[in-house]
Amino acid sequence: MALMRLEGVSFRYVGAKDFSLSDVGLTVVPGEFVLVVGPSGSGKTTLLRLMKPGLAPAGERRGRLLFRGKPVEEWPPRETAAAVGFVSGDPEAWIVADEVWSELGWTLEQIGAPAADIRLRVAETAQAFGLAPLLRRRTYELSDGEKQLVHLASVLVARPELLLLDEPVSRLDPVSAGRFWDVIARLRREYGIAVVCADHRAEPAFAMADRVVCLEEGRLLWEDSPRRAAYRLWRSDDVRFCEMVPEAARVCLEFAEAAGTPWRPEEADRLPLSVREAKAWLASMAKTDDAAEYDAAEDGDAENGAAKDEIAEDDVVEDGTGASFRRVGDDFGGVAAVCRDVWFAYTAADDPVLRGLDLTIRRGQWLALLGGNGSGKSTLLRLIAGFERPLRGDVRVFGRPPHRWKDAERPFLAGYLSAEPRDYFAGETVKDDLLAVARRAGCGVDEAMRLADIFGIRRLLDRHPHDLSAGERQQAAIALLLLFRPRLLLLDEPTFGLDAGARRVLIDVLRAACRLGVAVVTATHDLSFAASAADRCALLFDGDIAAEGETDLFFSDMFYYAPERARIIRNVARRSTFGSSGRGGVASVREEEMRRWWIASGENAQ
Amino acid sequence: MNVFRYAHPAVAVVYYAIAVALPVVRSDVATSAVVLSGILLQMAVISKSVRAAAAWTATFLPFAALFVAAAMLFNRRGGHVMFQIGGWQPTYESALAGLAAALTIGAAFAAFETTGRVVPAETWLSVASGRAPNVALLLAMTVRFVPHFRRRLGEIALARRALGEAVAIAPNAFGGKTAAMRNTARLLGLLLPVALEETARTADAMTARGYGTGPRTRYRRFRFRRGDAFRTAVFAAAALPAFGVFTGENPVVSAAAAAVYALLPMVFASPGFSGRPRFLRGRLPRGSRDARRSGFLRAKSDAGRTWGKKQWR
Repeated sequence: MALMRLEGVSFRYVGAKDFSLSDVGLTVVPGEFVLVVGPSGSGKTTLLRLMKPGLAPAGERRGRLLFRGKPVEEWPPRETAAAVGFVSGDPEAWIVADEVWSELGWTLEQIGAPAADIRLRVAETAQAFGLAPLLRRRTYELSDGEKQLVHLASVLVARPELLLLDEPVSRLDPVSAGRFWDVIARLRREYGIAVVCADHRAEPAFAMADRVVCLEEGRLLWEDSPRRAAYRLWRSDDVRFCEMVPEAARVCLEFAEAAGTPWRPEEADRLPLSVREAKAWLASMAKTDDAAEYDAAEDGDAENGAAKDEIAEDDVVEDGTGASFRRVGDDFGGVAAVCRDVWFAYTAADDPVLRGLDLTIRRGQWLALLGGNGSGKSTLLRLIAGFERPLRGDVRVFGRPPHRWKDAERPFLAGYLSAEPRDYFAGETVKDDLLAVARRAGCGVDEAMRLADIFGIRRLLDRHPHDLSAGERQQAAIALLLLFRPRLLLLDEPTFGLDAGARRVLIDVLRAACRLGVAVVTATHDLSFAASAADRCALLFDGDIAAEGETDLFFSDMFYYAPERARIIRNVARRSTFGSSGRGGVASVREEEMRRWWIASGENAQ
Repeated sequence: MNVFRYAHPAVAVVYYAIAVALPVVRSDVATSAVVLSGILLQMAVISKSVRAAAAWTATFLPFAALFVAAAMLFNRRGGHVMFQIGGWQPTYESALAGLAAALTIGAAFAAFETTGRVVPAETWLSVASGRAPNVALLLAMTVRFVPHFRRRLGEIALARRALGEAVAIAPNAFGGKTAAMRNTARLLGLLLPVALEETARTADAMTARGYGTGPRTRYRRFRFRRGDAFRTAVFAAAALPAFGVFTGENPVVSAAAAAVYALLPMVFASPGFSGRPRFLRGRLPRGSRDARRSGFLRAKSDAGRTWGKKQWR
């Protein structure tokens, strides 16, 4: 019997004109893993929330939702509270209790389980997931990865039959995310818990899923096996869908296309989904001559691309600097910021977060800061933005210590985006904020609107900032910062919540800024974003830069901490194999638009 | 190391209550000094560093000096005159009385602080949650949200500064005092919707996990076991001689007994002595049978095993 069955479910939020979900039919059988993919705003979260009775949003629902054959609303709330578990990607907001110990027992307390049962279940869950060492810790002291595991465990204590995962790893570094997926894999393998997971970028989930369901604008487009789903996504014309193809499959599909033998639809069932499969497939291809040709072709491309790149950059930096940077002074020898022997701790009692860090940030270069949760990436960005001052050592940005900057001049020098883009909005609508900031930045209304167009956020302008999705808010906040045309951009987790389309926009815009001589620093967990967009990468570990280098070389040196793509093509690595988006090559239309926008202002300012 | 880590919080509370009462009842310098230094020693042990105790002493010393000076000024009793300035003849007795008072008050404050370290606020709450679960939950969430929102306020200020606004709570803000106050008011205004949204999410999380679906059980972390009763009894018994019950008014004996009392938790509440006394061993406390079956008690006592000798029994 079906565990959860949706029959023609439509849903409309209170006050909304359109339905967020329309006529969705879906069946989940016990022990099954269903992955829901779709661009942001396609109704994934709404779908999951409807399946969890206590969380169903307010609005008008049509159709039937049956849990074990009975409509969800007829189940006593206590039973569904335990039997359907919901795990969000934002554990900070979802953890209720102050100690791990009481967090784990919380659900069972609420549903009135006998105390002895609670003790037993907390004990066995903590043991099974290795949380025993954390039991007595305060929940707010845990790292993000630990918080997410505790959040998951606190749901599992109630022994759910159905687990709903809403972008569960979006805030985790790759290592913690891997750990999370390991636990999920084990739950399926050893306990047969059914899982419905919504994510727009979920490589491990793809390999684990039994079925993939694709949503677009509230409609269920299709459902298929993971391999065929990957193929379908790849075949669709929409870039937002192409980017959802798991990396392993994408490498092989690209390879096949480059070799002139595109993947045939009837072979979709053989599409690799894991690094191992992809490697095996590539190895089998290497035996044929196609592979050699592919390599040769790529080599040529890479060289041409690099050459083109240099010329283009020289060009652009010339006129870019001339136009937009005249008002802010000299070149500082191409260096934007220097950190020398920087030590930093939040309070004297804390362990230093940064220990003698050295780093140089060059103009016109995109540097990706990598490192686990709590490795000091955000701290470093704050130091460079001048919001903190080093305990020891020296930070100089454009020749001055940034903590001496006046608040009014800071945004023109360094645009800083914190990990909470919500904080960047103070007005009733996005437009209010955009115009208020534009005034401060000395930007005209037209200019601000043009920037909104480039970002594709014009349709959001009349909405309240708090009603935007995480990704939309992220884009809008970055647009606010760009109004100042800063010479240095410091972005903390800029890809959080962004779907593929929005990522592409962001990459184009930042690329354009780079070409104009702006230094871009992004702190990110998203290795494939770093690999495809950044010029250089630096790994923060133990308070210092453990490794730094040009992106391709950097990742070819990494073994565990590398995006799937790099792991697959370790021995075939070529510069252009990373450059699927933006880096090098010809500027895209949006890049060009952005460049023009930027320079136009320079002329206005003259 | 927390000397009371293995006991019910009530044991610690009773212990420190006695420690506060002792100097008050005896009011002699030796006992008070012994009790105070014992508690300071415990403070150092608990916080695993001398720093906390040293800092405490540093704040205490001027306070004690003030007390002694005041006693010398206003207390006219006693026969041994220290010196004479005009009509003022401070006596050794008055100085000693002042010192005793300072030490008594000091011991009380040190005991409060140490109790706070031994029994954190959350523990009080969790003990209280049996009586008033909803109030306790409310308080626990307030305790959790206050630092959270303070942090969020800082983050919002940072975001405003990143957009070029001068913000009052920032160290290098510019603008006059009025501007600063206006800014702060505005920041608080910005925090409000954020706080509402975040609490709404937490409310969601609570509903999702069955909050308000009916009567709830209380899952007690702390149970007053027989061992705890035994320990409390031992502490009370050890305090008797210090109070002078069997020993009369001899200050030396009383101080020695107080020293024993002050050092007792170090020995008695240490992990090696964490188990029930021998004559109570072999019987598990009520209600723990299920837990024993689940392996939980085993796992829990494993932590202390390397310390004690029980491992090989």
